[in-house]
Amino acid sequence: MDNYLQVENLYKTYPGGVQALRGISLTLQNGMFGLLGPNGAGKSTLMRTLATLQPSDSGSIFFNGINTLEHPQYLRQRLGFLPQEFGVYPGITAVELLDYIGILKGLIHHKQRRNQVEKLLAMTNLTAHRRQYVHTFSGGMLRRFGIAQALLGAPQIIIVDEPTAGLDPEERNRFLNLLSEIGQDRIVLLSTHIVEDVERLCQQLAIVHDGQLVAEGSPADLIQPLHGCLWQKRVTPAQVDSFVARYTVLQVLLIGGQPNVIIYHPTQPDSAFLPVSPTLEHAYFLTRQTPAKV
Amino acid sequence: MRLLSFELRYQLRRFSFLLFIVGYGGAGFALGVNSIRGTAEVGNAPYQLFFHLGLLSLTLVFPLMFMVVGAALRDHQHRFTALIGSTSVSQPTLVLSRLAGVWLGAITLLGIATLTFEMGVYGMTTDDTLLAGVYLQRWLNVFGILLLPTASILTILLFAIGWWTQNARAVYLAALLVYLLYWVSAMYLNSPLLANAKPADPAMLWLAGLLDPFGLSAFFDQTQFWTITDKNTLFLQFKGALLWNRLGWLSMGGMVILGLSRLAPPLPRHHSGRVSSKAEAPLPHFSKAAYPTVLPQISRWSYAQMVGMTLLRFQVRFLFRSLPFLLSLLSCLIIVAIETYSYLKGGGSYREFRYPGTSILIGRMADPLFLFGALLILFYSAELADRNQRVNIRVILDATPAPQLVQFLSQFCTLLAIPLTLWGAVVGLGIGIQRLEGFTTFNPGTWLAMGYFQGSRLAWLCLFTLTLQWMVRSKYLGMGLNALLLLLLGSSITNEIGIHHPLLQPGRLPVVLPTEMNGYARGATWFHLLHAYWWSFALLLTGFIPAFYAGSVRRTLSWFRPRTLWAWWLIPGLAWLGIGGWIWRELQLDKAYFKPSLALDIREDYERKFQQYADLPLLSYDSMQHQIDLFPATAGFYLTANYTLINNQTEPVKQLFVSPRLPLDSLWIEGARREQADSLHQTSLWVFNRPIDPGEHVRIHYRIHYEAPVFAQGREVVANGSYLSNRFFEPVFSYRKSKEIEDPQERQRRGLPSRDPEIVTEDHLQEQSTGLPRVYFHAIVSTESGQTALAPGKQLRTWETGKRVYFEYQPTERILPVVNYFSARYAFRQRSFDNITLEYYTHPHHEINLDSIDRYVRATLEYCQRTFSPYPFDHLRMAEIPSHWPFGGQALSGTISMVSDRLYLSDIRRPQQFNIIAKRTIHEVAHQWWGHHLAPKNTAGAALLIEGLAKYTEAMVMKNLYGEASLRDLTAESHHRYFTGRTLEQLPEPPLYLQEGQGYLAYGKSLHALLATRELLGEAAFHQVLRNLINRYGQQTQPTLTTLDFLNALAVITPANQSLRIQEWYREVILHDLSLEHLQIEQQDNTYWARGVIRVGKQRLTEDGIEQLSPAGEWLTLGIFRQGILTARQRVILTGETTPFRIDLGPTPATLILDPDRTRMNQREP
Ligand SMILES: Nc1ncnc2c1ncn2[C@@H]1O[C@H](COP(=O)(O)OP(=O)(O)O)[C@@H](O)[C@H]1O
Ligand SMILES: [Mg+2]
Repeated sequence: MDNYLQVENLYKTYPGGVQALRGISLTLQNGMFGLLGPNGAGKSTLMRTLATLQPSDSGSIFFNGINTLEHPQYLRQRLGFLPQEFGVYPGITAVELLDYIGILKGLIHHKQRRNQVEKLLAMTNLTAHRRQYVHTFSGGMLRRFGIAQALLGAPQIIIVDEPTAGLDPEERNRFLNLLSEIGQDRIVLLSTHIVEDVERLCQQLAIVHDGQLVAEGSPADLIQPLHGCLWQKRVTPAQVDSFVARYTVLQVLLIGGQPNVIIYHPTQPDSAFLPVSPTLEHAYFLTRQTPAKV
Repeated sequence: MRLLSFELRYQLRRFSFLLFIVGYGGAGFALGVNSIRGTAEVGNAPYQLFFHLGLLSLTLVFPLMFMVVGAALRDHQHRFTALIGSTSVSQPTLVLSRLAGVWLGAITLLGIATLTFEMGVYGMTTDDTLLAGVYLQRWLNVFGILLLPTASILTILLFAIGWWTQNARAVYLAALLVYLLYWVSAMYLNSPLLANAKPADPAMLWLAGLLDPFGLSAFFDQTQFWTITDKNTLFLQFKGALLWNRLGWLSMGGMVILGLSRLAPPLPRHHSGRVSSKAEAPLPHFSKAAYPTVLPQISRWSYAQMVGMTLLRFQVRFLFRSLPFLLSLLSCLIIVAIETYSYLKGGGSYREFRYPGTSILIGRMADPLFLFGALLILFYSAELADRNQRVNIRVILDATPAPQLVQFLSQFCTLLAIPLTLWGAVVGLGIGIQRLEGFTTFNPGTWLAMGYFQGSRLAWLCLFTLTLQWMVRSKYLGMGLNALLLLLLGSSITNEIGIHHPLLQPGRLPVVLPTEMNGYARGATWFHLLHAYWWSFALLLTGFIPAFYAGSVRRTLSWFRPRTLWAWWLIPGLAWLGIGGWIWRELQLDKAYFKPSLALDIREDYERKFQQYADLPLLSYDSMQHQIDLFPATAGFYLTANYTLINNQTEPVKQLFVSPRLPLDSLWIEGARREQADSLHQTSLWVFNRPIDPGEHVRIHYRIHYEAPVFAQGREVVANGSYLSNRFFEPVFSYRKSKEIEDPQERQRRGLPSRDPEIVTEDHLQEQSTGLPRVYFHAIVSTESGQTALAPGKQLRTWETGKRVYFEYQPTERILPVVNYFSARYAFRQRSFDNITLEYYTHPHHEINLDSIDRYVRATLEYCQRTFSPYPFDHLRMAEIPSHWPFGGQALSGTISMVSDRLYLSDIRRPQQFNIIAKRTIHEVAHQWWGHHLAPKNTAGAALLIEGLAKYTEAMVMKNLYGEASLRDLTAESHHRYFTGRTLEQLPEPPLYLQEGQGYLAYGKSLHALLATRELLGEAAFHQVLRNLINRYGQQTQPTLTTLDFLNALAVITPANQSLRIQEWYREVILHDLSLEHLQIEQQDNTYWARGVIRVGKQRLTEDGIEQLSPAGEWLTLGIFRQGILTARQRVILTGETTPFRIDLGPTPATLILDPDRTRMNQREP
């Protein structure tokens, strides 16, 4: 089934005056979509709004043609959501809690639900802990549990907010693979501040900054304009500041204890600068620079 | 120091603290306003400060709990321990500054309450003399002895527990234990805050005084015999139990502080739980086939049902596992058990035992059930509404399609589990108690009804508090708001702030308690109505929850479509308005019923309009004829009455002022015309066409058709166990002084002339009698089939027509014009004694004690006939009435009413127990002589001849049946009653012969004077005096006997040298202080001798104060007891303040008791 999510002009200002979303528009289709942005960019706000947990000030969200702000139930029925942070009731085991959430999600057939719960526990490697109280889980286990509950039912849109935080590299890999497989016939929206997470698996991604989209497209689309514009030079620590003042410095790498600056410049500034082949990370860093300098 | 000020600021800035400040300020003010009860009480005297602020200090545990959790546990809760631990602040400094912060917070609250208390007192007092000056001294007194120590002790205790356990629940638990300690102490110390507490032995009292961490028990101990004057002037003394209590607790607190500064709290524990130690298996390879999706089905009804059940299951599990709930359940059971047992086992004034009748038990359970239930509901409605937010699982659950309505309903149902569990628990306990006590009557219906009548109020609370929580969505704000609303609109404060209308007091749903005879019938309709009204209101309120999710948030709620909301509002809204309108219409029947100010207006109007008739000459009753139809099912009756009045005065009567008690359907007065009629008061003035001359008769006829308004919850005509007095319906043929406003301040405010309290003098006794002459009486009373209707007099005939039964009664002689009608489904037994028919009417399950009762009736008849005079009737009837009547029994002519649980359900199976059944039975039967056969003139002092002599007879018959020991039980009680009762006297205490209905004289001191007289004159001579009185004044049509006649009769036979005693006992107020000193037992040859000194203090109370008297010339009796039995008496003539004596005990040693009959009012032993 083809799903699409259309977000238009979403605005949100928190009571404290923080403008968390400033006119976000997005269109998503089946497949993995990465939402990349630094902490505080508004990713979680956007995702909570999409998950019908909180209202926006203005804008519209349509899922498969249905206005989800007017009919949240339609989306909720098709949603898997993993919040960035969540807690659980004390004294409840993993199986019990998954069962509980499953019922709330509408899995009313006992056998089917039980079966799915067991499978999900296995998929998230929690079978050994199925009778353990969830509130005693370690951070990684809790996150895996969160993934399991997000997959309950038959979600057509899966929203996962920084799912890889707290996972070890191996787990992270496996989890992302799992998502990308599942994402083949549903929308998976994933937020992260780690470029690597989106680079490999997301067909599409958007970079959010200060509540606004600053770039959108496939990883290749974003990298493309950087070809021939990235340069690298080995400098002394004392020189770094003057470089930062003079060029659009994307990154300062320490190689063997010595700083290497990577700058964005349409042309080679001088011969001491060596060309660098661009990565998504570079594109991401570039969006974080003030537009004036670009 | 900086740490301390940081702490203080920390505490003061918390929101909860602000709430507490408001609460304490308000409470202090309210208590201040309330502290002036009588006209003569000084509202802010030290006693009042102690009493009211002490009361308030009981609540200090709550803010302390909050503050302690904030101060002792906040590092733990915010996981700062490591941080703090690494700073340079030393452990003791840290602990002590935190402790001090909490302590200062507590003191601040009490200080504020003290200030507002004073303000409250000032606000209410119009008269400057009613204020105690010298603030500093009074405040030092109450703060030094009571408040500071209490605050310190509680702070230290709770803080230490919080600090060491680092567990908030442990703090709550400790707070609960503190209360428990208080409760137990209070129970032993007869605290006025706790009804039905019992006096206990001195060692226990002492212990209880020490144990109470609030020091209140010791305070009540010190002040229990303070009179009003004492309360107005005395300061509390730091001595006795109070001193030891404070010292003990404070030194314990000191040790705890020492410990606090030494012992650090444990490091924060990690969550315990089942942690699996299995190594994690490698993540299996993932293939898409392994992710089986399951399609959600949310449109079906079964989904909502299943979600609801699941939520309910999890929430109930949470409830049943949570500590506060379990603790409260446990404490509720403990308190109910203690309450019940202390009531059943020696709860009354004679420490009598009772059978655990179902309604007796429910009566004990209702209050704790409501209190615990309400607190739990308040707490858990907030907890449930907020739980998902608090544990932060909301972000997952709110993204599911689970409907909010289902969540709301499941939370409501979970809350319902609280009253259900409490109810089930107390019912189980109750049935258990009944089984244990061998009470075999099982009333499943009543227990079930309890679920509705006691539970509905709590269930309503569940809905109301939860609705508010959902609207407010902030846990503490919601909880505060709920508590505030319930306090303001559902407690005694509601009336204080001027709200009386039942339609405006949501928390104050009527409480209906059952009685054994009548079940839950009385007041049930009113209960149904008001409950329906408030339930529909709460339902309507739930319809507004969505409105509180402003703007687009509402859309995130899958509640109801906004379009369908109107239907939600419509049905409960219409029900609410409809039922409200119905109630409102009912209330029009008596507009003043819930409007005290209007009631006062009406009374003022009555006085202003009709005071002019107060001195009209009156007519007296001569005959009284009622034809009355009782309708138990509808709580109503029809009455047709024919009276003859007679002019007993010396002047002709020209006018008659009629002031009805109930609206009259018709009134006709022979030879008179109605001149004025007042529609508001229903009064009328009748003018006789021809003045009624002395001795002339007038016939009167009236009709009444009455149905009790539902809100009145009348006691008179009820479904089973009606007891209707002619004083309830009979119009008064004169101005009713009792309708005037009494409160002097209120009179002043309304510009009414002040009504100075009348000091009765001897002249009153000689005034012409206006009171109650004896009348011819005849009654035909009917009731519904299956019930028996009773009235005084001989039953002439009964007949039945259709669904009604008729009874005709007529006494053979004139009787006093006080009659009552009974009607109930009675079991009837008839016996006879000496040509007197004994008729016993009881509730069918209440025949347990009937044989004993019969025995005591016979014993009394036998004693009184032998000692005083023949019984004046040919029958003696005794009938049970429901326990909603607040007295033990009433004696009408030849007919006695007795209240269920004060007689029929008394348990006298233990022979060593005081026999309350004997006591009450003898007393009421004795009234056939004292009060009926010999009726004194209705004036001051009459109670001495009615109640005093009945108590005396009681004492004599009890002594004959059970020996001297039971006489001493009786005198101990009346002695105690005197000394406690007089503490509430607002006017100077009158001497016995001028007493006017003061219970502490009628049922207290009178008996002692009579026993003293018996001892002085000898029983034979004294009884001869009583016999002579009966011969002379018995059966008088117009009673003329006064206490003067009685005293004159005594004077005739009193030896001249002792006449002063009679004077002192009856005409003066004398207090003694008796003790035995230097008591020694010697053995000489084969006899034992007792030697010692009698020390006697003697005071006369006069208008001018206290006068010390010499006891010389008086004599006292020494009683010689062996194994509790009085074996000999020895008179000692007092020579002065101390009188040495030496008496012969005989061949075995014995116990000496000074004044064994308690003939003197002995301050030493109050
Ligand atoms: N509930 C809230 N109330 C007020 N401000 C918030 C709230 N949640 C987030 N913010 C603010 O909104 C901005 C965006 O936050 P968030 O959406 O959490 O960003 P991200 O997930 O990208 O880190 C931040 O400045 C954050 O402080
Ligand atoms: Mg975030």
